[in-house]
Amino acid sequence: MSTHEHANEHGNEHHGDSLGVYLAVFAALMVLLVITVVVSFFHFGNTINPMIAMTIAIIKAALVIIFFMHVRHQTHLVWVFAGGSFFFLAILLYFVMSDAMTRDWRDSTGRSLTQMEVLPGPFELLMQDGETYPPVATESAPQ
Amino acid sequence: MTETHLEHVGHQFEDFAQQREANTLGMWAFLVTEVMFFGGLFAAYTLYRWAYLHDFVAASQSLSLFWGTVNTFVLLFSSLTVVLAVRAAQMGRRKPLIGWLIATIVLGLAFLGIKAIEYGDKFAHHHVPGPSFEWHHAGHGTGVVREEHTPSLEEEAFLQKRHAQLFFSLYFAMTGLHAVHMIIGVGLMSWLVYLAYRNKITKSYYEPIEISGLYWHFVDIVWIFLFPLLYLIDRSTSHIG
Repeated sequence: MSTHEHANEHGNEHHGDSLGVYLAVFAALMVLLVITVVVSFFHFGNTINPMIAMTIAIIKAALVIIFFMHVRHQTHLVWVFAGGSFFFLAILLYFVMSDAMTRDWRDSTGRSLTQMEVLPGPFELLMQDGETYPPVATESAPQ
Repeated sequence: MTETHLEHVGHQFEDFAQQREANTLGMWAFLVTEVMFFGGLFAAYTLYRWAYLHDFVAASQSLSLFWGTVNTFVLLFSSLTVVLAVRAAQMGRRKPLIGWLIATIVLGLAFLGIKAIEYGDKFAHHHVPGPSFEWHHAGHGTGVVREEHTPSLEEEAFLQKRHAQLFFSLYFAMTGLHAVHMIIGVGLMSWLVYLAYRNKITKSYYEPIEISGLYWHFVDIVWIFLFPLLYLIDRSTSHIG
């Protein structure tokens, strides 16, 4: 029985990859996993480390999408859908962060904070079992 | 013998190829919504990690790097077994198809089992957000530097505990939502085993395997991002204890 390489009457082109390709992609994913764990043990900087980690994660995701999800064999419309999702995620992250990082954060007394610090509300204090803010260093202070 | 009752072209489609493309696009449209579903949590995580990096590092280091790495390996391997199942279906080989599907289920259950172990650890250490939350660790700095104000020790401890609790809230929300998706994925795979067992999957009709595979790969991709963000913030120094 010969394998069908052209579309059969159901329009199913054999759009898979070879076993070798899948195993190679899996090997690459394993290598990237090891690299990402090892890199986390070195401190290159608070911006560099997350950038490396995210770059590796994006490469791994791209390998899964292109090869395991067969996107490389799909029509361009599928490519647009697949890529578009990350485009919208980027919009969300970009505007949330650019807003937060450019605010002039202050606490309730007007002191300037270099970063965000949201004061606890009544519910949060209730959950903390009666803790006060600012904390009071007395004998009766909760542990 | 050609396929008759299992797959037919819907009247709205020109041919099988268009129908199959529509099926694929339908699943991808759903996956786009899923990206935004998790995306909201990722946005919250990004914001608070930026705000409270020091405490997020400390909280992240309390997670088990070993189990997190094992789980990542388990899920990456399960994506391989899924794609091998699709390949077996394409070649019309029923037994390997069922075998690879069952392997995927086993790996999915292993992932969930390991997650249960990790969650058990969290409960034992009182790292579950809420009234029982406890956080003790040495080291100074909350990441909030105030002009002309040095936080007292109590204030610092209060804020550190607060920020750590935030990390664990995000941890449980993100991994919990992911685990729910895994459970659904395992259910999907079980349904596929049933379909294959009942001879409903053939060389010319393996759509369900392929489309469900897309869902499984997506869940894997979410974990590919969750793992470094939650477990690998900074393992270069010890901030706890």
